[in-house]
Amino acid sequence: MDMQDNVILKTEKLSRHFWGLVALTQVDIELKRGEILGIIGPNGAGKTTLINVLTGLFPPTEGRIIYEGKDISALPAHIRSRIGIARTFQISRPLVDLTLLENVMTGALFARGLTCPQAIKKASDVCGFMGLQDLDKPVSKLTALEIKKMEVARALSTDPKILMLDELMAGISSDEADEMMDLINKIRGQGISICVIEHVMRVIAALTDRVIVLDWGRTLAEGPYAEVSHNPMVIKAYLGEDA
Amino acid sequence: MKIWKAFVIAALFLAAASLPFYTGTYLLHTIYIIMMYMSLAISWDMLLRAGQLSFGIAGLFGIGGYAATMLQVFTNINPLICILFGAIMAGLISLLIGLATLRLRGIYFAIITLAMAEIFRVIIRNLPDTWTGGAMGIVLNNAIFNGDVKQTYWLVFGILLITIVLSEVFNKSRIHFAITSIRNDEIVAMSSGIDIFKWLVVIFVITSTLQGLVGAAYTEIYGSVNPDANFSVHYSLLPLAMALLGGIRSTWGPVIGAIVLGLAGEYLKLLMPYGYLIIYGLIIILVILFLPDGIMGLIKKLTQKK
Amino acid sequence: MQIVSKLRERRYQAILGAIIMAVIILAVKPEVLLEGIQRSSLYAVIALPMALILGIVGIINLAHGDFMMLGSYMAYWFAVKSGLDPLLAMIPAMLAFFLIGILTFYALIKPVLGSQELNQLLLTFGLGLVLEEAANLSFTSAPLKLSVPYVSASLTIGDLTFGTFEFVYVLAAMLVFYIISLFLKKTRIGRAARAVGQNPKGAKLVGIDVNKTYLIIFSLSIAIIGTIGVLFAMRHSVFPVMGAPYTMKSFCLIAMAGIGNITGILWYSALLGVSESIITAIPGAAGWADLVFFALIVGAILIRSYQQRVK
Repeated sequence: MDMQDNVILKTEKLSRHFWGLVALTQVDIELKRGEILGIIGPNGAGKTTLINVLTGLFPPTEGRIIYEGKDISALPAHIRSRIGIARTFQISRPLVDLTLLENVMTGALFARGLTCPQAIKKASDVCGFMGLQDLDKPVSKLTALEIKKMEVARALSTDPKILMLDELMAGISSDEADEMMDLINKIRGQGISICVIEHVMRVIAALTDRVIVLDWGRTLAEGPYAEVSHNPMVIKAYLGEDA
Repeated sequence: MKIWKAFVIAALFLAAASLPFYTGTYLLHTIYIIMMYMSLAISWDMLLRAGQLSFGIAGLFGIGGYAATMLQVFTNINPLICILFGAIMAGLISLLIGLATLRLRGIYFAIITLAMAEIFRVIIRNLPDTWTGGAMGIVLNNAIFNGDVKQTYWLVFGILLITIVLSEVFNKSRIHFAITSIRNDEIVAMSSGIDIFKWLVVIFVITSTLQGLVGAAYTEIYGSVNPDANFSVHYSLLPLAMALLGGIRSTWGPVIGAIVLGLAGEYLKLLMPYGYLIIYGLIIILVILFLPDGIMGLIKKLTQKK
Repeated sequence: MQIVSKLRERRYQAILGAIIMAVIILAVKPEVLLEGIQRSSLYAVIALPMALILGIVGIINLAHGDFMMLGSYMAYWFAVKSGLDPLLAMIPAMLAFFLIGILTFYALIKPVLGSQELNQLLLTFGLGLVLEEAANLSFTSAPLKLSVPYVSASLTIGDLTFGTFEFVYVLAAMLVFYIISLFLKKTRIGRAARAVGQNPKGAKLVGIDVNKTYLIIFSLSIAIIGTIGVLFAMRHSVFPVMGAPYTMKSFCLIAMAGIGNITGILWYSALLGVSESIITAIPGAAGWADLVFFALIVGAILIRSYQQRVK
């Protein structure tokens, strides 16, 4: 029982096919409460597909997703957002006809069901936490870093229990990445469990408690980064057969 | 600034409401026809703000008209109740169509709405003549308010006000955030907890009810319905061209477009008794190619540059 | 055993169903089946070029039926002016409509290729309207009819009497289907077009001139539909809004078959055409035949949205 309570989200033999192509096969992962879990793997390994299936963008072909002890495999994406699973996107997806603040408000309005004034308050708080300013700016005027932060803020405004960050550090500078890592640690400090997909190994090494390595849609290795990074199978997957 | 705006709106409202006291019958008639198209244009735009394109205004307009007229014939109750009934029927039918089709959106929805007017016309033609009057339609004994143009004007003005208020609610409340998210990025909308299907059905029903309302009022004003006139492509086409020309995704764009095209249309009809619809087709093409934000967008651009 | 396992596949079930249905109808009312097949062929041949544009250029051409209408008027004009057999108009029509296709592509389609779907729909809707109203202004809305004696020829076998000219549509549908399939599979441009249809960005990367492919496919499809317009005018009345229902029915077939599925269009046009013929043959129900396509579209959308959720 104790073991169970410690795990907020797990998958059982999770598979996802696209028109016969296998994107995920029999993936079993566990996300513990308050943990930062890294998901790494070469391009096309199925990392983003995993997040898409976990957040309900499309249902699994086989297998189950257990969240807080309940099977949520059949729940649509908007319900999963309401019960506490939030995400950002690999390629940023700002809502271009809304301002920065309004973008962040959407999560509070619909996932939390707040009224407009409440949502403005909530969104301003979250933006303040993320260090965002000039909240009435249209998103077309934002820098790459600001858009990334806005995506995190939009996810946080849903009051998530789990936050999934898909390549947050892509396209921002090394200093900016440091700032972002501080923020992620602060978010974890609030008791939110975090799942990061990342290519920048420096970030994975510094940030995560544990990593899972995916390759060709299956779990290749699992454990602390220091351990996994010396695993010969992982090295081979990253460098390829011909290396 | 805000006080100024409120003042202007109040002045406009008073001017429009008091119009019948100092305007002749012909002008009043022209204005309320334009106001009907204005309501249709705004309601069409309201759905467009959620990213859904409807070609089906004429279908809902016709359904509203038929439902109102049939209730009138069968029960002979107050025409205002019949108008309300027409609106509700259009809403109910759009609910069914929305539930069936809005999970698959975009082109599928657009084509369904494109076929709608024709389908309703076929159904009306094939129902027993004793219900619908068949191909000849139904002529009522009496137009609403016995044809009094002032009261008719106020009725249409009232419908326009309802439409404008709803449209502003769409732009200023949480609905605005839901539909803008859906239009901009459905995946983000879902991830923010927005039930896209539910919102789209609700918005389709609201805008269809408005279109049914206008159609029902129209038949009560003219005292007749028939399948060809009430499902005519005019009622899809004109509002669409008006909203596009004025500037989409706002309340005032369609208003401006309706005034410009409504007045121009009066002259067009005199110049080209038939075939004048070609102008509306050309306007649609030209706006899409060269003026995507319409007159409103042009004004904004010009004022911002200065 | 192999037959049984093949029967599990949906395609073979559909074929078997079609055969059983055909046998039943043939036994009860053979002329209905013949009429249905002729009707289906007309639908298929009209839908095929629209499917080609949608599948490869990615644009729904809401003016599709109106291009056919133009072709029909051209046939009429040609026959009246020259006094020759209107069938001969097919050759100039093909060339003229290829040119019209090129012009339309550069003037209207290319500017909206990258823009939102809504803009593309509105644009082709506007174009269709302009074509209809242009015909209305030039020829009035009164239906025109070519008087070609041989099109009303019929054949009687036993109790069965049926029109023979309408088999032209069957022939045309088979020919157009065959040419399109061959073109897509065997020619360089055709193979490039398929690549572009599946993945325009990828096609660009491997050096395919995407815009040129779009241009060729669009113009070719317009040439086909304009030529079909000539055939259409031989047997049917010509009037400005005659094309609109065919645009709708063509989309219905594409929606059922799925975008990019050319063969499916043949099967589903058989379903649409024969169903319409059956309903038309039932006394008192003929008026409802125009609802069949709408019911089929809604059905296809329901099935597709259900599949989407399960997938």
